[in-house]
Amino acid sequence: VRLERVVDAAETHLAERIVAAYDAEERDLFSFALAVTHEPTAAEDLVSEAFLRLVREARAGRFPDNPRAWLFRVTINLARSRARRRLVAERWRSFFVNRDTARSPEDALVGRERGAVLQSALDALPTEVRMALLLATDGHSGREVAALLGRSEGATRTLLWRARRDVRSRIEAEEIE
Amino acid sequence: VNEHQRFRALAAAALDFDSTPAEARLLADHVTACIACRRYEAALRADDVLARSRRRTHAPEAIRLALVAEIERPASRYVRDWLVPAAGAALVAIALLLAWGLALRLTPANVAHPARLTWSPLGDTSPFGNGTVADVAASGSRLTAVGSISVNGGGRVGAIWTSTDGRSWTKASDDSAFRDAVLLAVAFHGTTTVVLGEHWVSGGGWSDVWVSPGWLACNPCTASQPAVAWMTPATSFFAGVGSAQTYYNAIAAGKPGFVIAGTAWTVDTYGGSIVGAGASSSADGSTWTSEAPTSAALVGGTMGGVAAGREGFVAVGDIGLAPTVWTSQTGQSWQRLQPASMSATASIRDVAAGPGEYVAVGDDGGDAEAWVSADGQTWQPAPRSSDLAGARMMHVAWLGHEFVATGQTSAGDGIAWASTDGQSWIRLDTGAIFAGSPIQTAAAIDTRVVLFGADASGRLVAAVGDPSSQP
Repeated sequence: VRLERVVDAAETHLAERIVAAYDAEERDLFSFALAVTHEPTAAEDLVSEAFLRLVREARAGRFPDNPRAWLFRVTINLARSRARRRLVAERWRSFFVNRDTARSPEDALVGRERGAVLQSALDALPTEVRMALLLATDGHSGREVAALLGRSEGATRTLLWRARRDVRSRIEAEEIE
Repeated sequence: VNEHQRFRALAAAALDFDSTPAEARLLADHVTACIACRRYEAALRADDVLARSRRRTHAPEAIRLALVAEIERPASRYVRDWLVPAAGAALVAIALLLAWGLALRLTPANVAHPARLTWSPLGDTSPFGNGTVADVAASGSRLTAVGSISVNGGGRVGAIWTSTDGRSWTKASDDSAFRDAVLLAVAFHGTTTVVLGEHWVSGGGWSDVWVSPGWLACNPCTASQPAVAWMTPATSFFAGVGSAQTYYNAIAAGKPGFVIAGTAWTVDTYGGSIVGAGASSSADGSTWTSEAPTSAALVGGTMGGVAAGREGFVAVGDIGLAPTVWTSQTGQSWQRLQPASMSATASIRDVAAGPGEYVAVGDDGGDAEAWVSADGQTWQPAPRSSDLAGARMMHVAWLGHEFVATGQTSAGDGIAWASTDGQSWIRLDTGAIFAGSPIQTAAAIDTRVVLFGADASGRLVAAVGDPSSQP
């Protein structure tokens, strides 16, 4: 009975840590996944899988020291894996759909808002470039972005410069229009 | 790159990275002189603020419910889930231990299996200063490590270190050739040494190689020895402003000479995009020829690693994120294949060649994974094991009698594995030396193995593995 209590206490402690990680990170993680995939269902799958893996890690006695970094890393890997499975045609179709939609009269109106323009600019970035900028603006340092993406600092610097330059170009173009 | 473009790239970099004093001075000087650039910098900052304040969406309640359900699954079911595999693993482990004990008896005393080494932190890291090591390789009785160090006043300079025992290192004094550069990899062919690197300027850079005819023979290696001089190659790797630029990651040396592998990117088109895998070859390290990244074999690809083996060169990477292997007899003309044995979700990052096989490494579904091929054409995945769980293999090297793969765990700790055949991998017990510090590269000299990594702040972390219990 005493052993069961110890096990129960350990389980409860783990559950509390997982739930705390969920409460702390679900919003940033889901927003990140949504911005990367453009698809709510896909984002839900990624985030759900990331947290389920966290449960498995915790049960295996490997609760990460930095759950936020761990969750982002898993989500990035899952997003990349998912991207690999997608057909090229699907990738381009969604890209063109976004562009066409952005040019509709309704969205042209919304597009005057800088937030919407920014979103449009972010959506148009290639996935890897977009992930870098999303991570950077989610509060990760350049060095952390490099570590999360598994790239060198030099490459990440270049990636982020391209991202910021292209977002700026898009916004400037919208402002001129 | 004109001064205004350089400023803009620097201004963007300053949002994500610490500026060096020189960069900060350049930013301050330029911003007072150029109104347009001042506006651009302000706009970049405004974009950053806007992006940081973008609307965040809560995850759907369904995720929380699924998570709670998972947490509430009875522990006993977990026990059932892992008890059978664990019991199986235990039996396998016992069998392995028995086989290992037998192997210990049969293995020559001077051959040290990395899994049997005792690891200790590299004692004296002062020769490395604030530098980091990107690659280390053995040549004869000496190890050569390449990397870069931060310099006072800003920027980085490529650096080379040598060691004859893996424990005492000396920084070569003739690294002035590598100003504003980082060194990524080193390879030896005949008497020629080639170092692959990247000119490192804010906002970008381009790949380059440096060649030395006398590096292998020098001792000590000083700038006063003309034979040691590091020369730029006859072929320029800078494609020119506005042209697709190839960034090379890896180098290998085989019978025909050197091969470097990487990825060609467009630099000025919207967002920048991959043109194709970049592969160049050279017999002497100075004159290089490249297959066009738009060729049928390379288009759309990225090469992460390359190795030279019995059947020629093998490079690995992906095309459209699908794992891809390229083969070439000479390094000049490449054929590609996407083996069915490599899951479409896998990342394949590096490859090494032993005397009888090629071993590629990467990860799939959050676990490290390796693949083995005798000819570069047909690949078999290594069996999954608990030693490979929750980690990524980033690099692999053949150390003369063992493959050693290096990488990081899902928690960001450095991790390394050893394997004699690429099929069965044993996680090396480096204790807490690489906590929070991914391991970048490995090399062996005599019976000693050296691992290099870096912590989150970029500080070098290194360990030495000795066969005896006393390091």
